[in-house]
Amino acid sequence: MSPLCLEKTTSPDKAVRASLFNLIAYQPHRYGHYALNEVLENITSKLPCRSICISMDPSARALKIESIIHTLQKDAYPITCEQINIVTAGADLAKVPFALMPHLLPDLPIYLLWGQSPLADQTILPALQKFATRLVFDADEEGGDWHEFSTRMLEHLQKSPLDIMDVNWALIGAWRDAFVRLFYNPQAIEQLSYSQKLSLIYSGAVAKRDATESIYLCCWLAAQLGWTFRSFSEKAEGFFLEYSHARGSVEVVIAPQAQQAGGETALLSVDITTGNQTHYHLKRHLQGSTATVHISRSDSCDLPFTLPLPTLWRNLTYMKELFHYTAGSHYRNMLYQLASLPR
Amino acid sequence: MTATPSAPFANPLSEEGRHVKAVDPCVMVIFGSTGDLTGRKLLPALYNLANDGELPARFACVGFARRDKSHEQFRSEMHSDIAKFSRTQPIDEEVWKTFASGLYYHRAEFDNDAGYESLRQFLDELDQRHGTAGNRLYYLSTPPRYFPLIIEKLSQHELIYPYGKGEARWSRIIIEKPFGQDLPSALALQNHINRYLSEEQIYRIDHYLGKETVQNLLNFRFTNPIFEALWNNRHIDHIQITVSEELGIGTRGHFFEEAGTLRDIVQNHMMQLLSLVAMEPPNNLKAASIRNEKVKVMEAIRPLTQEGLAEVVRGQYGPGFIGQQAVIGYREEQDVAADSNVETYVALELHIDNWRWAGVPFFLRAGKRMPKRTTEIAIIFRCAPDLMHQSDVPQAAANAIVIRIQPDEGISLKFNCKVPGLYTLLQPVKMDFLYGCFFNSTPPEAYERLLCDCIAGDNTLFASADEVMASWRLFTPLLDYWHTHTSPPFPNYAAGSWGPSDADNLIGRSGRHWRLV
Repeated sequence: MSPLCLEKTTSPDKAVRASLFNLIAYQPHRYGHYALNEVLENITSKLPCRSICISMDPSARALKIESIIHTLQKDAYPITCEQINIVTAGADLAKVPFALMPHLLPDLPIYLLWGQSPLADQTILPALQKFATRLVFDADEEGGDWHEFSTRMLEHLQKSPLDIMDVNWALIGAWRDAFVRLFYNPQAIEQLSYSQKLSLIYSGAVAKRDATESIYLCCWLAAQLGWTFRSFSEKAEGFFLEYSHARGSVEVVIAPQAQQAGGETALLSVDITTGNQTHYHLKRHLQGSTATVHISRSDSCDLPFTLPLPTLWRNLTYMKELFHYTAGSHYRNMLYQLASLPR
Repeated sequence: MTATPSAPFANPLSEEGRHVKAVDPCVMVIFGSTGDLTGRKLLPALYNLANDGELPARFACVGFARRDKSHEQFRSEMHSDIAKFSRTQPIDEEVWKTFASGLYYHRAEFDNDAGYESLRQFLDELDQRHGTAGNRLYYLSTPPRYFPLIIEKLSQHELIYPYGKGEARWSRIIIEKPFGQDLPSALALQNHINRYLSEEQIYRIDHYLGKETVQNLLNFRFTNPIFEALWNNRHIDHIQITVSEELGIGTRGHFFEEAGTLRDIVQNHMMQLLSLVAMEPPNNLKAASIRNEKVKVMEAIRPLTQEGLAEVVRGQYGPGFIGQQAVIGYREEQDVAADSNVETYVALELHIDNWRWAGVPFFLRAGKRMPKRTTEIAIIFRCAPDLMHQSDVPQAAANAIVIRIQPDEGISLKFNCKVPGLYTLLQPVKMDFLYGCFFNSTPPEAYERLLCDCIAGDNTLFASADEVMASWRLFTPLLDYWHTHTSPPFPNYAAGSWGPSDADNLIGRSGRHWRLV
């Protein structure tokens, strides 16, 4: 008598179909140092989501829709989700919202990942934004005109109910947190408020687009510490700003360094001399998610220490920065400061 | 920064909604640092906090123990342990370099005054070197019998400071469970500690409270009204809480012979789970509000009567099989007496006498050498009245919400569906949420969260004195009863089985049965 056992059979891998949210990505162009498709790829490779990608192909005769099953493998539990590609030549752009609407999963958040600022597109976005949970965009599409962008964005924020997240603002989230960790008590904040010098070094050229993260960080500090804008100039070496406060002025230098950033963020280092002559030097490690901090005074030096500076794609940092944290009052304050820069 | 809970400093750089804990610099001293816990849990937790940027910018850690070793030896040993036990691999050597530069070892005996004096001088030096500002965190990773001595010595040598009273620095103590062996010893320990420390300085660690899934329990209950509306005796039939372990006692024979499963698991971990499941919604998310609600529900648990005491099931594993591996019985384990009557399994029925839970039994079981490792909370709902289906159609299975604490962390919902076809047949089906699949990220380990909270001065996830005493008031009579009444003949369940048959009778009496987890 043969033993009782089941025949071994070959069966397809079991997988669970799941989605955490709908993600509608639209990239009409490729801009700046940070292509939106890298954002898209990073998100969809880490989290299960229904992604709908809208792209332009001038040679397309009609609107084309195709779907792909996408599998994330996590240990023993493969998860599948769908990616839907919509290709349009441009002439039928107005049909796109109608084409993608049936494909949205109900009851889940809808995130718009936009390859241009919300100030630009008037075709697709108005139809989608009443359903969307949040719009994530890359402001560098505005061509680096900070004054123009910030002025229009402030108007837009007043009128539009849609929650937004500026990718460049998200990219400096870790730097803002680093400042909170370093300057955590009233005494330190007071000295920071009366800073004398601020220097931000970024990877790239003397171009407004490349310096966007740095200028955002500078304007954020100025806004939160109550500095008053005085002057701005652009030279071959970089950008030079001056702010004033109750005890004098802050000279700001934003300069490029010809070095590959080694990650998606361009800001390489920050130097500050505070009101009591304490010098802080924060330098990001090109590999990894940390920065080294050196603090020195006229008569002493602290041992250097490491501060975390998580990149956007470390663990679930991106989920917090892009989809959960709000671009609230600090972002608005930063935009007000940005708007004071000349055109 | 002052240690008193005055109005928090409103940092203009700090954004609402961004969870950046700008914590005070400090030194952490681990007493008993050559023990197992330091290498397996504490240092990997600190390393991962450093890796994630959750440690203060100025931080140092000192291992305090009897054995002779240098700073470098200690760092090297910790590097090996972190490489083995850290949840993030491989070690980021840049992070390690900075972290290790703040890692030190101090050799001394727990009862030696000179050792504490030299510790104080050493910590003052570290304040200068690392900018740790005199803030101290002491982790007592020692057998509980040393707690009173160490705390007394710390106080005598001004290593801990009075709370409040204008003191700019702070000092805190973390104590591992068990907090006492029973109610009198817990009260004695508490009274002793209170001579030197305020309650705000005492952090009683229960690592279950640091688990992601346990924290999710409160979020699940209080951010999903659909479930909270059913979370009462009108809809719930009973609740089962299971903590089963595949492992035996390993090398913890000495400890386990004095503790047993009731003290090791039930009195602390399971009561924390029960209180989170049964508590009322807190007024806010402040530590005091949450702890108050937990104490209230624990104080509403009906004391065990003489009959109830007799019905509590205790067991001890004998030889058996775990998977295909033959394993020895408890009495054959290292450092266990051949005639030991210590229990490795407990099952009991509790009732909470309040409006929400009147009439709903809570069945708790915890055991070692069971078929699999599982910690779960199962909410079993009342069955539907048999109106839909008459005569020959079986009744619908009870709905259940199962919260899996570990492993396969997640939540599942069981409900009934009609089988497609011409006839009305019912099939129970399951909707499953798995943390690991959806978020594709390893959550922080329990000790990471707890150490981070303690450094930040947040005691929400630590057991309060009231909670501990309420739990001991419930279980001390049971321990006394066991002390005066003969145990059932041990061993009474085979390793690899689900416990003694008496446990089935316990729940079977009311027509219920244990879930197959």
